Amino acid sequence: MKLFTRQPALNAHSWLGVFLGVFLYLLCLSGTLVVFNQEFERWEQPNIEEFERVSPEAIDTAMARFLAKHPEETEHYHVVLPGSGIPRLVVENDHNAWFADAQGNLLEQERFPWSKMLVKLHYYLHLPMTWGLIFVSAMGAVICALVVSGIFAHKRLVKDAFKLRRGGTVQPGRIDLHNRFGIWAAPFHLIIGITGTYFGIAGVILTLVAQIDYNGDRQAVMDKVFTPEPQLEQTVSTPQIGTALANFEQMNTGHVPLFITVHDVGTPAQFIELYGQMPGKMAYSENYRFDSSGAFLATAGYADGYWGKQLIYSMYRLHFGDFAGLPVKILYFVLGIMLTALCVTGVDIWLAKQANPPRLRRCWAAVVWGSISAIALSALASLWSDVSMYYSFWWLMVAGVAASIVTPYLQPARWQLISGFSSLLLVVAHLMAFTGSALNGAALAINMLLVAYALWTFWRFYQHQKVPEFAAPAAARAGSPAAPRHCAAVVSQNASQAQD
Amino acid sequence: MAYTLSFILGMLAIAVTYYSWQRSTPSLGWAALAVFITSVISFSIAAGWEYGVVYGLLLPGVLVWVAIAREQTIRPLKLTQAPVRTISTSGYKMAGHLAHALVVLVGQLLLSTVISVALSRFLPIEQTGQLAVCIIIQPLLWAMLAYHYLGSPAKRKAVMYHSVAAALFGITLVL
Repeated sequence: MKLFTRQPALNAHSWLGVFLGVFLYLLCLSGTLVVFNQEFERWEQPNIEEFERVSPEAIDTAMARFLAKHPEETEHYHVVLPGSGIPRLVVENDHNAWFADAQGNLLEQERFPWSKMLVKLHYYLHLPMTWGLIFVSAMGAVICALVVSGIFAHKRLVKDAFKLRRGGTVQPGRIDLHNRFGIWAAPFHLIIGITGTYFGIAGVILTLVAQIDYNGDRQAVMDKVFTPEPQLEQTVSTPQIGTALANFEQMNTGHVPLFITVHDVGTPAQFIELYGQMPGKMAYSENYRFDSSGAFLATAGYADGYWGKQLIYSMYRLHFGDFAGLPVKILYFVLGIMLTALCVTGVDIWLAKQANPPRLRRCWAAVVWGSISAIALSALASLWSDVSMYYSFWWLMVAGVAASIVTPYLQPARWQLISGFSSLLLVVAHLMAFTGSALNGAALAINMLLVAYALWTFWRFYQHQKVPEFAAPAAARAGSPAAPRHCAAVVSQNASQAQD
Repeated sequence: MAYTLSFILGMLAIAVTYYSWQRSTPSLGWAALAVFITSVISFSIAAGWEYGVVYGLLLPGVLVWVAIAREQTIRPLKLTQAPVRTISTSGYKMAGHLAHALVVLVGQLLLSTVISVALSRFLPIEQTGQLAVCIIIQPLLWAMLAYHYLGSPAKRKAVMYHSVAAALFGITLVL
């Protein structure tokens, strides 16, 4: 059997896609949502004042007030600037973060437990950090393997390039949808796979190279890739962050200041680092370094440094689509939905080939739609209580899957409906919690998206119910195939066509 | 203006590809490829090559759905009920799946890392460049090893080949 022929490719493709399907799905779903992480953070606290620019004096005022409130020991101070993608000012140390207004008055403590949970689901799958990061990175390589095996498994790559058969036994439509998503968005999938692998595996590569070349000194390799910190010996003093920002503005670099970090706080080596986004460049930022008094020292050299350094520093923006504002975020979101749908249709195809084992099918539906519901209900819980987001998400997930095992009532269509109701409930709760603020800026956009999703699920359920074969609960209990989720609308359309 | 032109070129590339596919004319396929490359260049001029290449590569994945929607066919629903197949959950089978998972997720992680670090060090460039190349080729190599292992009926032989290759490349790291 030749390796690059259909059957071996199909064997590899189906094992990777089915055995790791749940993890891939959760990562793709959370990754698609995390594209809008900044908007979600704004949605969680929609009542915070927003502005586009802040003066160096206001930053100094905010930091002074923050230090008076939080004098505890810390290694860093951070100032997140309105240019960071969230048009707000945040001052923080390693333990606490506060929003401030344009004059530097502290407003309220930063609190976005749900967004954090979502980000950590994507970064670590909520596993212990190092192992979680490596496991999630492995899924990046799995995505690359799925792209390669998917291409070789395709019998008629060119002949079927634009084909989409809907209706019939439903399975051809599912296969066509899977193949079209897979082939046409393959560059995106490869970008996500390669950049995704980087986050966890870079550490492994670094360790190996450190062992070979630097007797295990990882910092030595880090200093090769990322510019080493300046070695300073100064009198310990309060860092002049505002002066540093004012000096940066005078330099007219054309770079957009994202945030400022004070390193080695309270030590003679203390220095200020300002991260400036470079329009047109994929590298995360150019870093401007200043001493404690705010005097400029040097840049880290990411703007015009060695190409290898720039490439490594570009991985984050390339992975999350965080480089050219909302249009690119929307593009990544749409392509992310395709990648997520690719995971779902892949497992659906496999389940259909097993003649849809009822319990397994319900469990898969509980994972697919139940996770959306769990994400929405966790967000709802975060609005009204301090309950752990990790527990609430996983408790809901486990409860959903367990319920699907024991009751035949929880068919895929009903799970879809539950996810829609959960989203709608979340919007109502958000409106009740924040009233007018829930209709401002990013919060309004997120709430509208949630309502649109809920309406879509209701419409799908309505279409589904119109088909008698699929609506009959008795048939479902007997284990007959219920409406495949992605083709429910077409199925009903076809049923009415057949009646005509 | 430059963005609009690039976007139009991207759409044109899809349109020509679709037209070529519909009429089965490979020569038009080459024309489509030329238009596609032009659109990538145009995006690069408009937004800088780093953004331009990404736009040029990703946009067809969305734009193509106009053509796919045109091409879709809808047949009357024909429900069939095949007998449900039992999915084997025997201990032996499960152990086999777990072994595959260990090989792909742990073993091949290590092997692909050793091979890609060794391969990148052959390149006559700065160490930072070698590391950057290593970061790009490692997931692809890992993917290919996983594909070879899972696609091959002789799995032990596949693991052996990978281990020997990693050992040979590994020697170059310590020499």
